[in-house]
This record gives sequence, structure tokens and C-alpha cells, in this order.
Amino acid sequence: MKKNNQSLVFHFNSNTILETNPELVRIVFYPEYTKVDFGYVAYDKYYRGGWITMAEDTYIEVLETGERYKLLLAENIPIAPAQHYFESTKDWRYYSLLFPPIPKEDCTLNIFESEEGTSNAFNFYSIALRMSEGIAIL
Amino acid sequence: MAISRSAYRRYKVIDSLLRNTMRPYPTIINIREACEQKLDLSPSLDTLEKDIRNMKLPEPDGFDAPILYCRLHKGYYYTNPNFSINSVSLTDNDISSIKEAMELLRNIGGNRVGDRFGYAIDKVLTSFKETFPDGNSKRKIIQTDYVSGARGFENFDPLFNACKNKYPVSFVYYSYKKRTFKSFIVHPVMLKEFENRWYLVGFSENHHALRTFGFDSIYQPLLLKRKYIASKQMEIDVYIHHLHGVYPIENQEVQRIAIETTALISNYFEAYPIHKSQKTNKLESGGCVFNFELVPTEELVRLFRSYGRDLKVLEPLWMNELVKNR
Repeated sequence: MKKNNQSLVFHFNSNTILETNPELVRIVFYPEYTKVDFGYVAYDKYYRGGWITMAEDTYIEVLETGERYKLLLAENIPIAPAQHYFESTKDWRYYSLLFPPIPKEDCTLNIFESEEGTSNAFNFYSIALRMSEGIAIL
Repeated sequence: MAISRSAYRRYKVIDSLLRNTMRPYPTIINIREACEQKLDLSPSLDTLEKDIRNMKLPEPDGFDAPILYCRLHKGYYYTNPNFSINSVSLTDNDISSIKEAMELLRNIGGNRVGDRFGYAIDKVLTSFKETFPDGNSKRKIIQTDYVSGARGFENFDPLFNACKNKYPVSFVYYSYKKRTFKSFIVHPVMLKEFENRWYLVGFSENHHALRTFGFDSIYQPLLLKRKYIASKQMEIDVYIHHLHGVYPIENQEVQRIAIETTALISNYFEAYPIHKSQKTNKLESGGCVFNFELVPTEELVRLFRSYGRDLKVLEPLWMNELVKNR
């Protein structure tokens, strides 16, 4: 019982700089919700860095079970059709998405903003999580 | 919950009655009469009963006062006869010193330290003073370059807690130079302020070494249940004793750094030494050669550059080149 209530954090650090997607940096399993943290760095493809938004029907899919967890809340990024406009090509934004709690079992996640998988969609595929690698939070 | 000054004054009266061994077990009527005599006011019986309940509350809301009602003697008493809400004795000088220190803290630490500390100290001081005159707190007599609203300063408390209790911390960090977000696990050693900016110094699991992280780039720190990795004291000492600034230049040890300054600039270095190792050799021209034992830092290079032609780095030569190549 105690183990199930334990919050766990997973770290992700890629060494490549992605231009089209935000960087997935952390996933936190809380008993009440699952929180996914991202960092987005504006770049010079768009005037003044362009804008970002998050689709309301964004969800996490657990590949092993096929279960879907729909977005509950977005922190520091607006839900479409609202947009956050950057002021320069050197801006950045840290934001988080909150989903319902995912069972604390080894799993592989997809995060879908758009099932079509367009280059502009904030989609992430095959995120493997081993619970033994999660770090307990106080 | 803040305790009002008028309530404090009543608490003082109640406390004095409960400690009076000549007339033990005061009733609520006795307490009201004492308030009328000493405070020149007549609180309701409900107010006084509430006061007694509040005094019994645990700190910080109350005093944890061990007050009980004795049915036999029909009055109140302290179960611990040595208890008093004034359990520390302070002289007028002590009180004056505390007020000055509080004012200084408010100026240096801003509201974060000032408010929390102020509440605690108000409580101490009002316990000792029947009247607690308002300080002229709006008149600023010390000005520092503290500006409120710095990004990341809201994380001061959790990071302070992590340092104090040796909790590893998970956070996301944005590097201005690399323009990347990364998640870090850091075993914090200390918080450091330099030129009005705050930094966390700790052992970074990502770097396998001590590193400095600016508060402004730290996002959502989480305290971890993880074994704390203690840094070597020698390495910590470098950060504490041998840095001017916060970001040491990679692969540089403590070393002799020598600069020559013009007469004008020498005045400032003499008046405000930048490090305790600073040693001065005065030149006939009025200029000086200053020697330091330091680990070169980015901030030291920036400081030297800021003086332009009025300052020349004599040693080490690589630093001379670095300062010239702006």
C-alpha cells in the first residue's frame, strides 16, 4: 500500500537539440495525477519564434494495455485555440501537462497531441519506463 | 495565525496571575478585574476564556501553556509551576539590538526573511513589552541593491530545506548558453548569493562533480528520497574560500593571480578587497600590484574586464589573454 502511494520521478535527457518538438525532461508519477514536464526553445524558422499551444484532446497511451489517459490540465502553455506567442527567436518556455494517474508498472508510453503525427504536433513515442529506475520523492 | 497586540497584553496579565503563588487559582472574574486594573479595559468573559484556549495552543499560534481548571479550587493554574510565556529574559538593550537586526534583515533579505522572522520576533518582543511601539519601518535607512521579483527566488525555501537537511533534489534547468533544458539530480551543499543573484552549489549526478546552478534557471525542484552523496570537504572549501563569484573556470586550481592597476582603480581595490587573500604592493606611480590566491572564475574575468585599460593581468598569462579578448 505504501509503495503505491509513493511518488516517483523519471528523468529524460537527450543530447540532441530538437527543433520541431519540445524536450521531454521529466515524468512524475503522483498518486493523484501524472505530470509530464517539457522545455521548448523557440527557433528562427518562425517570425519572433512563432507560437505554441496544446491540443485539448492530448493524451497518454500505455502501449501494453492500450489504456488512454486524457489531458487534465496544462501548466504554462495555453490550450488551443489560445496560443502563446514568443517575442523572439531566443525565447524559451518550461511547461507541464497533467494526466490521470497511470498505474505504477513497467510500461511504454506514447504521448499524442495529434494522432496524424504531423511535424508540428508535440508527439512522443515509445517512452520506456522501468519503475525500478524511478526516484522516490519526499 | 498572528496574535494581536491587545491579546498579548491580556496574555501577560493571565500569565502573571497564574504564576502568582500568593494568590493561586485565579477565577475568570479575578482575571477580568486584573485586566481592568492593569490594562484599563474590561474584556468580556468569553474573550478571556478564548484567550486561555489560545494560550494553550501549540506554537507558533499559542504558547503551549499548560493551563488547567481546578474544580476543587474553582480557578485556573499552570500544571508546570515553572512555566511562563516569558521564559527568556531580555534587557532593553537586547530588545533594541533585536529590532535593529530585524530592520537590517528586512533590508538585506527582503520580505521573505523579514516577514517570517518578523512574526517570530514580534511575538518575543511583545511578550516583554506592555506596549510595543511601532518602528518607523517605512523609513528606509539602509539601502541594498535587492530588487524583488527575481525569477526562481520562490524556490529559496525548498532549496534551503534541501541544503539544511541534505536532501537530494530533482529539477529542470535551462542553460542560457546552450539553450537546452535538462533534468538534474543534485546533492545540495549550499546556497550562495553573489551580486544579488542566488545560486545552488551541489554535487551534480549528471556531471559527477560540484556544480553551480542559478536560481533563475531552476524549475520545479523536488526533494528526493535518495541517499545523499556528500562532497569532499576539500572541494567544498574551494567554493567557500577560494572563489570570487560562482562559476569556476573548468580545470583550474587555486593559483596565484596578479594584477596591476592604475592609481585611480587601486583606491577601489584597497578600499574594497575582493578576496581575503588579497595582498597589495604599492608602486611609486600610485598604482598597485595586487596578488590573490584564487580559482579563476567567469566573474573574476568579467570584473577585470570592466576596468579596461586601468587594469592589467600579470599572472597567469592565459588569463591576461582571456581578459584582453573581449
